[in-house]
Amino acid sequence: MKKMSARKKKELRFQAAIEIVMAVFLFLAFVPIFLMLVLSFKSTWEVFNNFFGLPRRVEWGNYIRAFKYLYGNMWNTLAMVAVGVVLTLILSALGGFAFATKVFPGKNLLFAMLMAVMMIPGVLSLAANYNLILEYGLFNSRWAVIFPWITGGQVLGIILCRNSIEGLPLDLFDAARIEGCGDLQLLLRITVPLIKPILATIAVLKVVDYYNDFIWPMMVIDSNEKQVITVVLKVFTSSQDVSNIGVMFAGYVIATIPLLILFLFTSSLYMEGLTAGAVKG
Amino acid sequence: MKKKNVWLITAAICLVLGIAASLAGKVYRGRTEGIRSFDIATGDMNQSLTYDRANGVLYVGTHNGLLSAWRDGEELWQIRAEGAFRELALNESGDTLYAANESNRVCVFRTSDGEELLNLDLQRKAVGVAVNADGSRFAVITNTGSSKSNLFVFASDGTEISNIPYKGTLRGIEYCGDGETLMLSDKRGDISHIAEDGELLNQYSINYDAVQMKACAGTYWVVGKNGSYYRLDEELNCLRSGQISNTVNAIVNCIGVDAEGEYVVVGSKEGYLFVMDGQDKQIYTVDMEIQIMDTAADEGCIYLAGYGDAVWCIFAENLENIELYTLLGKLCGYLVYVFAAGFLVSLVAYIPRTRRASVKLLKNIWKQRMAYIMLLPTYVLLFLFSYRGIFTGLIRAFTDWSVNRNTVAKISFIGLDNFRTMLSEGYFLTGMINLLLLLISNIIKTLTVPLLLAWLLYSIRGGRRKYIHRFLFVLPMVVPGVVGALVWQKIYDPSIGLLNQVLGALGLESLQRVWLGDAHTAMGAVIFMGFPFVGAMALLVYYAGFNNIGNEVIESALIDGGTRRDIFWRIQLPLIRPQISLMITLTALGAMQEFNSIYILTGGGPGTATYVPALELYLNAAQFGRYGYASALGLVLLVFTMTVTIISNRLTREKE
Repeated sequence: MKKMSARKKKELRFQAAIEIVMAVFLFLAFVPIFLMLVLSFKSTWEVFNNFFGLPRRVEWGNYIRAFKYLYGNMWNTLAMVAVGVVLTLILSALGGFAFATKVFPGKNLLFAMLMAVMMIPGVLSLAANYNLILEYGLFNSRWAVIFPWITGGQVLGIILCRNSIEGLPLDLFDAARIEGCGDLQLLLRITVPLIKPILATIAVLKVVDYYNDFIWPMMVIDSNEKQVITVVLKVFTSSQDVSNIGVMFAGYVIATIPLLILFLFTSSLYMEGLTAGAVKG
Repeated sequence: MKKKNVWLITAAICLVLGIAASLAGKVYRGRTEGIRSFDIATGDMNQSLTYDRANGVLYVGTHNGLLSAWRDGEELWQIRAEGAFRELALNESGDTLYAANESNRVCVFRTSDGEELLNLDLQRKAVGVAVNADGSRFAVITNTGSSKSNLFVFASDGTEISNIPYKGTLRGIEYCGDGETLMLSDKRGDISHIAEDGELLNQYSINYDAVQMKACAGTYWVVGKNGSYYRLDEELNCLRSGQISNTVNAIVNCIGVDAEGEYVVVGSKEGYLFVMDGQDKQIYTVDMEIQIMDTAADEGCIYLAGYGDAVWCIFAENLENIELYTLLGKLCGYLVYVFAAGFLVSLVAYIPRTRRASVKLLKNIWKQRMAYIMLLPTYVLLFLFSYRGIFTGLIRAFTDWSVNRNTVAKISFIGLDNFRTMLSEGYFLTGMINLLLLLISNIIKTLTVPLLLAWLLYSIRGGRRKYIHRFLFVLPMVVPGVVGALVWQKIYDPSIGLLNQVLGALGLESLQRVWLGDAHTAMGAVIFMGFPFVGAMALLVYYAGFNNIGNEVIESALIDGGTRRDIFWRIQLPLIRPQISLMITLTALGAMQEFNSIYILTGGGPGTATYVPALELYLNAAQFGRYGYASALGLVLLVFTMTVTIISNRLTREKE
């Protein structure tokens, strides 16, 4: 009995130690975020004279100014990401369905070609792809970003969908076919509802991916109105002088909000997506 | 049996037609070259030109007194004189070159080596020179600038035969076929046929400043400043005349005719080039962007000198039908594929075994057409935006592809030169050292903090607490990578940066640095970015790995009296080795390709302190336009990443 309690005590001490270590790491991990938030509410005078303290007077003006600067590109980015994600999901479901339920000549070759894309780093063909965009006449169009997004994004999507559909009971498909269900109906009425979780995971994963893209849009989009938020933030940072620190950080917070909202509502999918992406990639 | 033969015949027909199409395509594509830029570099502004058709030598005189002879793009000789060479003339055998120079001189050269035979001072600007067929006489026209010109006639040894003053500004001079009389053109537009002693034999007026006159096969081509041109014979009968359609108000400067006297080119001061066919119909107009100064005739083409370091060759005949030839060339290119496919299909149909197999395959494909339709958009996208880029990149890594050499015709293979440049230029090697630093530090980062935190997370009691902690550790992931890098850039800011502020508050001013601007600290700052290195993905992967270990294993170890440390080192760590090797692989692959944060933090600087190969690739592709070199860097990175992937596959397979 005494021994048990000693063990319990030890366990309790261990749990407390975990809490302390984790608290330290959490605090350190959140330092940049705290910094971003605190500075975004400070006036420039306070940034220089009250660096460590909380803002004495909350400067909402920072947010208004940053929002005015960024909101057009924010909508633009969200619209582009939405189009990209929807197209990725359609392609993933179609491809996953074809690979999972059909037997056709060249299937293995086609799948191997798909896997090859994942093995080859994107930077390899940066120069060539840039020139292809020029050749297709897509330069400075939103499609110059969306097409490459979905081209790369669908690969993981198809693989995940294929695995997911192959996990469904085969009799289901046979029964539906006997009932006279066509391929499209089979896909839309039966398969898609059953693989909703994996589609949601793909969607979350791709929203994060596309939203974070930086180098490629910077290369192929020229006009400011069509530019994505990450590139605009970089430009925004260079264009603000030292007297606008608060506005700058308010801009960073605004750019973070869409992904924060996504995470709050889909945190488990988000975490699942991360690991799924890692394991398959 | 009969049916079988039909296929054989079809195959033969396809083969023959395919070869024919390929040959025809070659011919047509050969004719799509209309204007070729010559590999002649005088390094000066070219002003006058003459061509020795018998020996294939082109002579170029420049504005700053450089005279050079070229054969097949190779310089034979060059000499320097004082003023601009206005006109060059050759005798019929091509062994003597006569040059009119603005520095009041006319010079005579031996063409074999450029030796100066005569150098006569005329005390007036020499603007034109002509020589008769046997070279026994040559004539020079000079201007004094005030509507007064002189005509000098010399014997071949340089003795002056006559000096005739002329009222008006002379523009051009040519010897007539008899070797004695001369043809002159002037600013008023008068073309005069005169004897050696100045006696006027005949006259013709084109009523416009006759800017240039060229002799060709016993006839004289004159062009007016407005772009009207005339072909006159020795009796000054107008054999042919035409007018350029001058919609751009070009000021015409010169005229050129091919050796057959069919196609005519007219060049302007603005650099416009007008090409006329034998029926005096304008067939081509192009802006060459620099003033066209002089022309010389050859069989099938006309040479042009631009008032800059440029010599062009115009294939007038090709220009006439250039669009048609381009189209036909392309069409033949496609036809070759069609016939090749037809040949293969016929051959397959002819051999019974392959025929049966292919019919079966086609039936199967047709039956499963829905699968192909579903996959079509995927593979169209992959072809357009992935495979094409990869193949182009792999092939053109061995070429000098760049912004300025961006057409298939201009790109040439340079073997391994791009890879040699990497070793010699220095950026790549600096980048490799930095990449190695990043690689090692990133792997250490993934192996420490996330592993520790995942283990702690796993050891927490209570599902809810676990979830909350996991949630909180993953939460910072929502900050977009670009924002994260920008915030860290501000953390390193020398004046308002958190790092220097904290050091200041702690009284450690001596440690304050311009972290990103100092070559000694910049790389360290890049590595330190993201402290305390809670990699959310690694954390989740390890955590999933710990959870996969059966509880019984741990329980039994605990009952056996194992401490937590023992269990971690002896049981858990070996069991999550697949996750660890996965994370090492992913980290290595990421480190090789990722350069967003370096681009934002330092842009590779200060100097090259934080260069990495991927950043060098981006800069070469996006900013310097050295596409071939960027592709070569991509190929090197591909080799690196493939090596990492193959090694990690080997290792995991061995373990399994």
